[in-house]
Amino acid sequence: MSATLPSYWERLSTTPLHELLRSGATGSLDWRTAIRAAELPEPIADTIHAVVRGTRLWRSERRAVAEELIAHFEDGLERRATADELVTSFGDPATAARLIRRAKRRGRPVIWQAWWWGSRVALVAAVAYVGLGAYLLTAAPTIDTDYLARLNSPLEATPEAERAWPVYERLLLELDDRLGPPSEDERRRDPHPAPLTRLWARYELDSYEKLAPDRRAKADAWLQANADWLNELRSAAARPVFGIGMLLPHDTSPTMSRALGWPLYENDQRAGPDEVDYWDGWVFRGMLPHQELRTLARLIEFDFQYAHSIGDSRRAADDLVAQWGLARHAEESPLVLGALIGAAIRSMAIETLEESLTGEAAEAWTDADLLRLAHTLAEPPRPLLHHLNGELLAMRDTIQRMYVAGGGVSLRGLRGFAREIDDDYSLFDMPDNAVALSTAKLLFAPVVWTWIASESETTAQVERLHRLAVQEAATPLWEQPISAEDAYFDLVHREPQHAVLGLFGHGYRHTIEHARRTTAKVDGALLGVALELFRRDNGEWPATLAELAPRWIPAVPVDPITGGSLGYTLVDGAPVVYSLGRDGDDDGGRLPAIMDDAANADRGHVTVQRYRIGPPLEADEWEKPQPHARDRRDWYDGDWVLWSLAPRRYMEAVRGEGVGE
Amino acid sequence: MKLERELMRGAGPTAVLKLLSGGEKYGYELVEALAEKSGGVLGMGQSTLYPMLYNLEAKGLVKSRVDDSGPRPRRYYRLTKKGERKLAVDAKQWAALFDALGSLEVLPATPRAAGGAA
Repeated sequence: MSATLPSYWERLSTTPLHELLRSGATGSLDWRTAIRAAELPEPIADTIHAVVRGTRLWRSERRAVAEELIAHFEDGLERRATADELVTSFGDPATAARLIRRAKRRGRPVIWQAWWWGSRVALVAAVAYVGLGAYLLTAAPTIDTDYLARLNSPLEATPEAERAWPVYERLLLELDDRLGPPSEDERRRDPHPAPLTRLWARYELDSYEKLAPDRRAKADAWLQANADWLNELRSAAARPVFGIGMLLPHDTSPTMSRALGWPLYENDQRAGPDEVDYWDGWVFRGMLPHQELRTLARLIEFDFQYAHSIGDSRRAADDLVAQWGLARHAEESPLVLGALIGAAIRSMAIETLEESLTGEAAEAWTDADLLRLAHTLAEPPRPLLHHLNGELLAMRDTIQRMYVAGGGVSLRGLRGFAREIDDDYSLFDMPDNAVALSTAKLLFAPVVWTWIASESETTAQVERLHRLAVQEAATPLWEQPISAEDAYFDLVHREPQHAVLGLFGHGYRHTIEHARRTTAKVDGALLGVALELFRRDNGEWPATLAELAPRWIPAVPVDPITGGSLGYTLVDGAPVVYSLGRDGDDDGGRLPAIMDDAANADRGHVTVQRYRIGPPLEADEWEKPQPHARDRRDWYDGDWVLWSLAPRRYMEAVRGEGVGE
Repeated sequence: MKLERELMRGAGPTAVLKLLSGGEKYGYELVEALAEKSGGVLGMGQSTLYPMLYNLEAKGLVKSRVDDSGPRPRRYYRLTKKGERKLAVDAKQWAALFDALGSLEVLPATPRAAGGAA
């Protein structure tokens, strides 16, 4: 070993800071110099040097080890052992260095121990995080089942003559021809103007009563000139089956595009050129012309009002029957949207019927047509189970596109999904709307992946919600133990790991409530027609609803909320039929203060507060904390009106303005 | 006779603690005492002894100090209270082991073992 003295820089680098400030560069930690200074025989010095260097300890530790070994060997030499004997008995320097290093590190301060272990754990976690991120970026979902084809399969066996859609499509194309080529103004508003949209823009067919006389004359002329077209429309609505399956955007034919105003997709415009679109074929991408059915129903409704205004009872009845047919076609869709559209059409028809039976306007109806209406109204809507089952399949389809088979959320699948709902995430019930998967958010993907519900957990929850919904739909409100909607809401908003359900589980929102509402309104309408027929036979309204059965109605429906008797009263000589509501109190058919009068709403009323139906409330539930806005007491302190021929002022008077009956 | 490593791993620390119970010692002293008092059976290379001392110190069983007063700086080791307790426990365990081995006639029977259970 070299006998040269350490340089200043060597001494400086081996001096503790506190010594440096006090005494200058002493080099007190320089173990090499200490070994040299001991002037031990070379084998011993080399051994000590090899051991100390091999420990790779802190400088202070190596200095201490070096000094101890120097003392050890000097003691040995003092006892007359030879250098070779001492080196041999010492053992392997590498082993010694390793064991000394391990032992010395055990003796280090707790803070160092914590830092050492913590840094190792952090390193392992970082590697795992990056690895997981790489996996998430590359792992792709496996799409095993074509759920869209499965949902469309029942249609394959339907004969062409029973399908309504081919007729609807032809009629819409004819309508487009009858309206003539779109004007510049129409094309400026919409490059693909749908015939129905053009019809509405030209004739303003929202409310017959509200049209100015000149407009009404123009609309009347159109209805008369196109009576044949309307007849064919009614015939199409009478066909047993709607007859069109859900279509993907790129399956839109040119004729369909022209009939509905849907754009044509020559290529898949959503995915990038090098990106696999895992959402191609997704059930929720499937399109059905539901909204067009609704618009056709509004057109029929307009004709209904026209027919009633001219005293054509037969034509008005034909229109309501056609609306019922359109509702039935909408309900063919296996998704809840079909049920909701069907319910909307039925409600539209009932409201128009209610108006037409109010006051002297009722005289326009013949008994025969009223009976025909009663038979039509009695045709039940498609059971909600059809839509709930379809929704379940749609959710399974969504799951298979969002998850790696049997594993966690697939980022590649999720990015495509984010692109899908970027257009209309209002459809989806999400705790927050931050779905854009920016690069910054991708960095957190592994964190999200570790706690977000797995495929099996999500599937289990979807199945559970479905069972709850099916049970709820089959259970009367007065026996209902738990709401599927509440269970869904709690799951999505209170268990963050299930937030992904909020992306596609919206099918339960209000669906069952709408179905119950429609059933109750239909019951109200059946009672309304029965009341009118009774009045015609007896010259007055019945004293109780019980008098209507069985002659004018097979049986009086029960209160849809309480299961007891419906409420019935006369206001200014006009009947009002109502449910006692969730509070179970008979308020004489008075609406809760917060609501508009849904039963007597003006046509074209944009916002109508509707009674939020649900199970009966116990007395002590009024005092409970209200987690949702819809549970406020002012929503339920009143009755749910199902049928009312009472003057509008009645409903205004009881809306909490202090004017009594 | 040299002990197998596994046996030395158990006996070595106890032997060192016992030697230190007689007063503080420095490294080479311990080396000599181990070899001399055990007839070489517990003699160990210093590449093993010093790491063992550092481990015992890390566990708080021994404590060291540097003495600069002699011809050279020496690090002396002494037993702590915790080390004393450990030594007592180890001694009992070794005694129980020897009794058991004596009962099995692996070892010559000790008077205690010959007289019945410990």
